[in-house]
Amino acid sequence: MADLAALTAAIEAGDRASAVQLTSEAIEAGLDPQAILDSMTTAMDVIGGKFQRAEIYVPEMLISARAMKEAMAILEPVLVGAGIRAETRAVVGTIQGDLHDIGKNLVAMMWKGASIDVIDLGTNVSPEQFVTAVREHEARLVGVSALLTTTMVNMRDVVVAIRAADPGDVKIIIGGAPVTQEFADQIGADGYAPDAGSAVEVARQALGVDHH
Amino acid sequence: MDSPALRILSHDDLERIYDAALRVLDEVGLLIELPAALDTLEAAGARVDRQTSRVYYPRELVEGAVAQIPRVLTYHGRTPEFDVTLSLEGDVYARTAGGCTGYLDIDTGAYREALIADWRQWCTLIDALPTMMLANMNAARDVPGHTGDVHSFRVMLESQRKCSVHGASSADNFQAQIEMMLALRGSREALAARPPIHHMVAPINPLYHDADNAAQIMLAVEYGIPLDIAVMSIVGVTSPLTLAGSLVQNLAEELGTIALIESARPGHPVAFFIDPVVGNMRTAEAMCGAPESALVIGAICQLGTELFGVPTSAIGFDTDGFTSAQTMYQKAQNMIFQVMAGGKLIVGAGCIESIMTLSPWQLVIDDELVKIARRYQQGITVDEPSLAVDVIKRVGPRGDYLSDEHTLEALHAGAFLDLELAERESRRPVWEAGGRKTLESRARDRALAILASHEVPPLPDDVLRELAHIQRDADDRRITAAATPA
Repeated sequence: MADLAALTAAIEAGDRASAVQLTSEAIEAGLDPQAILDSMTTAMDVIGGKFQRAEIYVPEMLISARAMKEAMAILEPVLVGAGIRAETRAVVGTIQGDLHDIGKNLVAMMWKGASIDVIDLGTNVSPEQFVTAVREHEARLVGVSALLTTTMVNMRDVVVAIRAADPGDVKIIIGGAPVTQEFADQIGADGYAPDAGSAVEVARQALGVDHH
Repeated sequence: MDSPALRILSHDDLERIYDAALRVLDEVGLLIELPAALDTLEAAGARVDRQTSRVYYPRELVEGAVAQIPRVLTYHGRTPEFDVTLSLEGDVYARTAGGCTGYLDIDTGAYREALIADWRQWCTLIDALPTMMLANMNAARDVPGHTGDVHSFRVMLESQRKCSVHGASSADNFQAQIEMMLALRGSREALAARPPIHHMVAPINPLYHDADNAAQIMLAVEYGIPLDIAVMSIVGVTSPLTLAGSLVQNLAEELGTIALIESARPGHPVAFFIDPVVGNMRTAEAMCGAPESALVIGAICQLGTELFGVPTSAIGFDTDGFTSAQTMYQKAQNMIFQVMAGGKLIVGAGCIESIMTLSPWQLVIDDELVKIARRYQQGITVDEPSLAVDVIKRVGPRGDYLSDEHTLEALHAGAFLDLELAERESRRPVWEAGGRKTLESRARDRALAILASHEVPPLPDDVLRELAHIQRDADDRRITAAATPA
């Protein structure tokens, strides 16, 4: 029997097997794919809130994100078939000259959990690659990560290149160990996320999207 | 091998960690994306998968490399009187950590993004403080981003006379640094005889050297420049959350890299420097002063001292504090574990705020902490004169020791540790009458006094011109992308 409340609970608990099974059952029962998706993002909103209130740790958040990712793999073709697209598409990457990708991967995972379609460009991404990907995927959101103080400065070039290419109203969020709000302001980025948990909220604010 | 005073781990547990690291190197290996490095390791007996750039290390290869590391490391100054030698029997020294971007203004105490003038000031302090050495700054706000390390390097050569542990943001920039060292020393032979830096390279955790990293290692070996391989995982993020697991992985990364270096040039000097920091499970960020760090630091120094017989570098002066209270308890905690477990080079001097910010007065305080560290390593001497039974007999009940010659002899022999900065007035009225001087205010006054009086003799004009020229060339080069897998 399809039970969306149970699906929400399974994702909150990070129970991958149940999340996958409940998603399959919901699809077989012919439930509205949008409603199934909403029951998943509801879980991730709860998890994100708990994380921001310091009620759970990063690995506890990630296990929920991973449960959602596996359930989404089953739901995705159904969403495509029904013509349902993610509200937002994002391009993420680690800055040119930098090969550290764990922070970027965490943000990508959390954005996916918030039902943002994420194109991951990997590490050592040039400003031109960001611009090309934004155009190709019609992204409205760009996430740029840097771990090193030596590579952080290259973020300015990404902002300049994207603004110069003017592919529409694109919001650029930056983050990484040495990055600060002050630096984000200096280089004209639209947002700064100090950690993966807050990256969802920062993205929503930059896009002017309300919490659902 | 030497047995340190403090033992976090039993000898059996040290062996188990070493054995597990050897298993990781044999079964998982390292990813090294430079064909020349793969050639070197393959010739030395490693199994290499060219498709994946993975190197698998047989146990004998690693054990052979460990046997090759010099047990005494010399850090060559501009001239020999500034040389520092690290050995198991020698003194403790300290150095700053690399890559800080912030600076506390010595006049106002305010934080700002570091400027290149701050770096010159910092170098003057390092030159004057006897226990201190430098690491690179990297990113002053007022120099080009792609050559921040080269600017740091030039100022380091010009403004102080000690050996530095210095990194480069690319092999190209390291080449520019090598040109500067050639200008300083005059020839390749003279550079190899007295390299003024130890080059710092850090693997990307877990278990990865990209082509540029490996190219820097091969360049250092080619020019005879010693290496400090800084293995800096974040526990729970880029290495296992269990401390034993993080020790295993970090040790595998260190030894796998050392095997590359020693295969390329047997006997090449390389520091044993493992530097994991605890990941904050609330944010996944690194915390440099967590209590677990002290345990890890102690264990690392035991591995170096007890198992390998090498002078060990560790992050005994790291802290994540913004306030003096947290900064001081964390630095003291980490330093004590490092030196009591036999470690010799304390990394993180003058650094605060998760090694992102440099504080001039903290550097002066840390210089005093090194004096304390040296006293701790001396321990308590127990012999007939120090047991002093005859003296106790002589002074007898109701006597006093201040006027006995034994006290004078011991005082002159260094039995009393005099501290210049500590608040030692004992009673508040005395302290208040003396102007309520604090540890910090005294340290700041000392730093200001050094800056007002200490002079570092300039390098010869032709060397200065050459350094400036190399600097400009590097600035003009277009930024090069990080090397991609070959």
